[in-house]
Order: sequence, then structure tokens, then C-alpha cells
Amino acid sequence: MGYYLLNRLVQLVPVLLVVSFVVFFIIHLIPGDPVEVMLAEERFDRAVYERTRKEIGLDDPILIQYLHWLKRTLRGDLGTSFRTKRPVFDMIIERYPATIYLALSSLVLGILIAVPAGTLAAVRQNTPWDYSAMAFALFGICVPNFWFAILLILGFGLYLPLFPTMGYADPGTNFWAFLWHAALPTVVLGTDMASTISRYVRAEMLEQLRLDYVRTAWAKGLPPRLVIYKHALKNSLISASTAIGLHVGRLLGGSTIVETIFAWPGVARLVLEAVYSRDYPVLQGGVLILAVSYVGVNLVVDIFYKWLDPRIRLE
Amino acid sequence: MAVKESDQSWLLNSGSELAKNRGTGIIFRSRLATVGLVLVLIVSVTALLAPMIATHDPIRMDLSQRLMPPSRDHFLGTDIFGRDLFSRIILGTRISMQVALGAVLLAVLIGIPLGALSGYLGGWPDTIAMRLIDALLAFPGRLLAIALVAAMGPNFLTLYLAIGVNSVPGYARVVRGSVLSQKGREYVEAARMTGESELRILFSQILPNCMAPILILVTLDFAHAVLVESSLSFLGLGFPPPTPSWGLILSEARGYMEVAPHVAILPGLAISLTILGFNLLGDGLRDMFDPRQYDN
Repeated sequence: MGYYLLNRLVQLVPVLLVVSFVVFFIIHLIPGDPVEVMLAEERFDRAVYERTRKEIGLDDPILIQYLHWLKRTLRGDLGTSFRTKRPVFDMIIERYPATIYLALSSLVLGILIAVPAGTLAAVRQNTPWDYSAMAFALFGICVPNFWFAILLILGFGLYLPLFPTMGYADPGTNFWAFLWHAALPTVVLGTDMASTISRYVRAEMLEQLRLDYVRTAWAKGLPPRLVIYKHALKNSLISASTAIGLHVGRLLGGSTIVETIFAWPGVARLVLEAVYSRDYPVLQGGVLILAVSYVGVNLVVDIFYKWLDPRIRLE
Repeated sequence: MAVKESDQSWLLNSGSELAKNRGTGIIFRSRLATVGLVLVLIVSVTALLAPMIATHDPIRMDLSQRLMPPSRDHFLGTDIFGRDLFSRIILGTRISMQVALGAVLLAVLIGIPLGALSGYLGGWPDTIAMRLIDALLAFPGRLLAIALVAAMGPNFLTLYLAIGVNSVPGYARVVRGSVLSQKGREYVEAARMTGESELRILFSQILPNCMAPILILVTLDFAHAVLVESSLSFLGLGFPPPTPSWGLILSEARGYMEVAPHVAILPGLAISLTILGFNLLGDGLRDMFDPRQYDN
């Protein structure tokens, strides 16, 4: 396990380097003079222009620029926002909890839907149960989040006003208010997650139910409850955990649309606001943090998976 | 998924009981695949003939006709500027398909040679290519698309790149896997003995044998591209107004959906049906090419 961990961490280095280079390179993709574009919102001031240009170091060769940027970034200095003049790092840290809480609540809902739906579909394969579970999964895959969100807002915000359609409450101070505000965004993201995961759980369950150990369990005369839940489901979930983990990574890696529609004060929305106001340091910082979170979650999931399944650990 | 010979054990041991059980599944699936094919055909034909199908100019405003409900003159009613919603959605099909086609083409043109060479050459080119692919996979795709479009501005090429780059790893991996499984086969040896060049062997002998998984990926990627394009334009990062892009129509409708919910509902329906079509067709193709997966 120690060797595996080390190996996995070493593999992470090139990935993070590429990710950071892409993020760094964003401002070089701006057509024309990036500094002019960046400062477009402000009144033109030669001094500010020169200072910004120097700050970014646009006159250096690109690799040198990247190394400078990387050095600063590794020290936690993500630059200063053009718009608010505050350190980008602080702005992101303030917004980060909201993104995590929404990801967690969606994860819980997603699993609560996906595992029973997937299991039922597999156990009752090719019955109306199976078809309805898979129709639900197809719905989740084909309906874009933004449209589903709009339908929910129409339904539960306007016609049957049960839930707030925007805003946020801190779960630490008022948990119920948080749940109330998080209800609609959680349903959107949770359904999205459940649609993928339930297909996964179903496929894994079908695979397991056909294996010898399950046949043995049936032959021993174990009650269905034990065979299905204690034996087959347990093993299916080990494999499904990878898919779940990947999805958590996706949730953390930016549910931009949902955060935007429901005015949820998370990092993904911060990135989008930065896009609108051409606040490139915030854009870069936000994308970097979200991408690193995504990579980090994937790593944790991989390690967790190995820990969960001793067969892989031995390999 | 690569269809390997060794994986085709289903041919040998598909017991009659299992086969019976699968029967209903196959019929259900193939029916769904047909639905998918029909949807894809409708969308494609609509995209091709859009200007002929549209009844009005999709960007012409008529403030006297604002937010009209569906009528004989305006099949799906009008939006806040009095523009014909039906024509906007029809023209939106063309934009959506155009972006998806470009994005998928870009992914195919980069991903397939990358994966093919990587698998065929092996050694350090393979290692480097696969590490690059890993890094690309490690990046949250939607976020990358947003960042790229934000920096480069919305035009067709940026959208192709922003959406397509995310699909490159899929092709590279699938093709690499297929090439690895094919390159030791006898027909490759035979081709080599006849003196064919290595590149020719790779592209005219091996690659045609990897077409099935590529075709499946292309279909599913179309769905993905339509989704990302509409998401980007919903966020205001796609083509600027008054372009009749599905995501943009929906996004504009948010402002007045209490009074005219149909303007928010209909473009979403178009997006969903398009994605549904490509997904069903993709699933159907997968079942056709890899029958082992019928049950999954």
C-alpha cells in the first residue's frame, strides 16, 4: 500500500504540471494585447498598464513566465482581483465551503436514489421495475442540468412555491435553512449523479449475481435478503465507488450552471463572474483550485478503492 | 470498448435460459435504438434544411407580436422580442449540429492518430502520449471549456476546440487499445510480408478493424457536444445574441418565464430529445457490436 501510495503521488506530478500550465496559458489565449483586454473595464492609465504588464511578465519567454507564475502560485499567491482588488486566494477560500456543501448534499441524494434504483433494476431485470429505473437514468442523462433547474424553478418556485429558488444559508449556523435553500440545486445535481451511478450499480449487480459465489449462496439456501444485500450488493458497491468518486470530482470541479442559476455563492459561480467581468486572476485562480480539487478527489477515490478491495491491494 | 476475440466467450456459453432472459432485453433495446436513429435523422435533416423549414426570419423582431402563444402563424408562439420561436429552434438545430460536428471531428482527427501511433509504436512515444491523455482526463472538462471560451471568445473554432478537446482522450484510449489487440494478428504479419509500409499497415489494415468502438464513441460524443454547446450558450459564453442558439433562447426566456413558460420549456425539449436520440443510438450500436453487454 505504501508503494502504491508513493507511486500514485509521483504520477500526480506531471498531471498537476499540465493542469497548472493550461491554467497559466489561459491569458495567453486572449486575442490581442492581454493586458489591454484585462484592463478594458478601467480607464486607461499608462502606469497601471505598465505595472500589470510587468506583473504578468509578458515580455519574458513563455517558459520563464510560467515558472515565475508557478513559484508564486505554490506559495499560495494567486494574484489580486482586478475587480475587488482583494487577494484571489482569500476570495476563493470564502466561496469554497458553499461548493463543498452542495457537492456533499448532492452526493448523499445521488447515492440514496442510485443504489436502490440500480439494485432493484438488476434484481428485477427486464421487468417494469428495471425499465422504469433505466428510464429515470436516461432522463437524467438526456435532460441538461440547466433545463431541469428551470423546470424545477417553474414548478416549485413559481407555481407551487415550496422552496427558495436562490440564495444560501450556512449549514453551521442554521442547518434547516441550508437544506431548504439547497433543496432544488441538490435535486438537480443529485438526479444527474444518480442517473449515471444507478446504471453503474445495475451493471455491477448483474455481473455479481451471475458469479459462482452468489450461486453458492443461493444453493446454501440463504434468504434472498442476505444473498442480494450482504453478498452481491456489497461487492457491486466496491466497483461502483469509483464511479461515485469520479462524480464527486465532477461536482467539486464546478457545477457552474447550477451555482449560477440558483445564485449559490460557490467557487464555480465566482469563476463565471470573473469571466463576465474579465477578472483574469480570479478566473485563473478559480479554475486552478477547482481543477486541483478534482484531481485530489480522484486520487483519494483511487486510494480508497484500493483500501476497500484487498484483491487489488495485493496486485 | 475493444471487441477482442478472447472476449467473445458469450458465443460459446450463452445457455438457452440466459438467451431467453436476454430476448426481451434485446427487443426492448433495439426498439429504443430505432427511436434513437429516427430522432437523430430528424435532427440531422432539420439541421440541413433549416432555412427551408423555418417559417419566419429567426432574428427579425416584431414588438407588436411579443410573447404570443402558439398560433397558426407562429407554431410555437413568439419570444419577448416578437421573434418566431419555431424558426429560432429550427435554426438552433443547425447551430447545435454544426458545433457538435466540428467538435467531434476535431476530437477524432487528434484522438485517432494519437491513439493509433501510441499503440502501434509503444515505448516512450506511448508513455508520453498516455501521460498527456491522463492529464487531459484529470481536467474537469466543462471548466476547461468555459476557460477556453472565456479567453478566446466565442466563434466556431473556439467552440470546436473547447468542446472537442475533452473527447480526445476517449478516442486515443479506445484506438490504442484496439491497435494493441490487433497488431499481433496474422493479417498484420501477412501485410508486413507483402512489403507494405508500417504507416500503411496501421492506417489501412489495422484501423478499419477498430471502427466499431469509434462509431459508438462518435455517436455518444455528439450527445455530449450538444449538451456542452447549449450549456455554454446558456451561460452566455456561446454565440452572442441574437443568434438562435438553443441554450441562449432558454437563457433569455428565464427573465419572463412566469408569463411565457413555453419559451423556456420548448428549447429545452429540443436539446433533450437530441441528446436522447444520440444516446439511444449509441447504446444500440454498442449492443450491436458487443452483444456481451446486452444485459448491462
